[in-house]
Formats: sequence, structure tokens, C-alpha cells
Amino acid sequence: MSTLRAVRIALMLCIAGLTVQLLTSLVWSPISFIIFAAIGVTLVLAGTLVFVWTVLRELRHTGAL
Amino acid sequence: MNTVFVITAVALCIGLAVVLLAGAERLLASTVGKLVLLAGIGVLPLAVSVGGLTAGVVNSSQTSFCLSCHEMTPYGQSLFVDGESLVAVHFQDRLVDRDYACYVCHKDYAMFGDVRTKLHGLNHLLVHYFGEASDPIELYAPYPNANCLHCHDDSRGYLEVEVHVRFAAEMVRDDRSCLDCHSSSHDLDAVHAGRFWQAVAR
Repeated sequence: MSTLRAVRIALMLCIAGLTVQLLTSLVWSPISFIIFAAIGVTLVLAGTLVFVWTVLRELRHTGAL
Repeated sequence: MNTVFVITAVALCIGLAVVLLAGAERLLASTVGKLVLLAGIGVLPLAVSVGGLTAGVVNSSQTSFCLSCHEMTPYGQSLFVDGESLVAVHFQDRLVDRDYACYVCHKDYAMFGDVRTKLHGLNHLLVHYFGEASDPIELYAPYPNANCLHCHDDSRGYLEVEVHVRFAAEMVRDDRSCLDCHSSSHDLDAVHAGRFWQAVAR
């Protein structure tokens, strides 16, 4: 997977996660809190991990690591 | 929900969408751009999420949050009954913070007690949405004296009652429950009879 493609996937995951968090925070209830934490935060975490993995791969590729 | 969280999340979403649609390739081409991506994808979304999650956890400790499930309605109403029940006295006389009345008396005060309490809360939600709550609702374990003693242990009013001092050791060990004598906690009979305290407006 190219770096650009991986960054775009990370971006999409972060945007999706933040959108879920935003929507659930507008209608605050017990179930929306669970969706906020279980889906919203998880998507953002996944996006961040994809990005970190991409950075580490790039650094290894260029010999910086 | 926290306004700061909403504004920050909206701004971040818009920024990330702009980068996704127009600028990712350009940002990857320069060092400054890579740093912007690092902040924009690697740090800020996670920071905003942790902030939102923290605000949510605090919010989930509020009385209004606990009472948002219909199973809790009579227990919420028992805060307002007329009489000497523990719950009514604590709530009406402001012995507990009214915004966190349920949490203050029902949380676990042991180490990692907050986590355990939130896990219990999660279980409540599972029962609410996918199961059926027992009628009447029961605690997971007998009500621990530690929750009462957390506030009353060294208070003057408590220590001046002779039996409290006499049975202090037994009560710390939970061999004798505070509720043995103070048996009226949530006065549901008063709720069903409609005996409520009416505050007089000044």
C-alpha cells in the first residue's frame, strides 16, 4: 500500500470516528455514550494506528530507523 | 455535551476533510506538511476523543444520566419524598451534591472503584437494552458500610451517637450494616402513595 493511500485511509477513519462522536454527542443518552466510546473512539484510534504504522514503515524504508 | 468538544471536533473534521480532498499529497511532499499531518492525524483526533470520552464519563456520573432509564424512575422520585428516608434527607438537605447524588452513594470507593462502578454501569445498560431488570432492582452485593463511612466516619454528628462508636469495628468489617438501623433508604412506599416534599418558593 502506498504512503498516500495509507494516509488517506487514516484520514477517513479519523473523520468517520469524529463524525460518530459529534453526532452522538448531540443526542446525549446512555446508548449514544456507548456508541461514542465503542465506535467513535475506536475508529479514531484505528486511524491513528494506521498513520503511526505508515510513519514507522516510511522511516524504516528510508533507513531512519 | 461539552460545547468545547463539539466546536473542536467540528473544526478538526473540516480540517481533515479539506486535507483528504485537496492536500494530502502536497503535505506529504514537504517536511512542514508531514508535521501538519502528524499533528492532524496522529495527535489531535486522539486528544479530542480522549477529551470527549472524559467529558462523557463525568457526564455519566450525573443524577440525570442515571435517571434517564425508566427502571430508575421511582428511585429518582424517592429523592423528593416527604419523610426521613436516607435518600430524601441526603438529597433534600444537600448532604450530597444533587447533580451526582446516585453516584456519590453507590460508587465503589476502593482502589479502581471508579472503573468497577463504570463496568457495573455498562452492565446496567446491557440489561436495559437487551435484557430485563429484576423487579425490584437489586444491588450486586449488600450495600457496603464503607460508602456511608466515607463521609460520616469522622463527622461530629456521627461520632456523638453512642452506638456508632460502640459498633465501630463491626461496621468497618461490614459485620453489622448501617441499614440494620437506618432501614429506609429509597422510600418507594411514599413514592407510590404520592407523598412528596413541596419546596416553598421564597
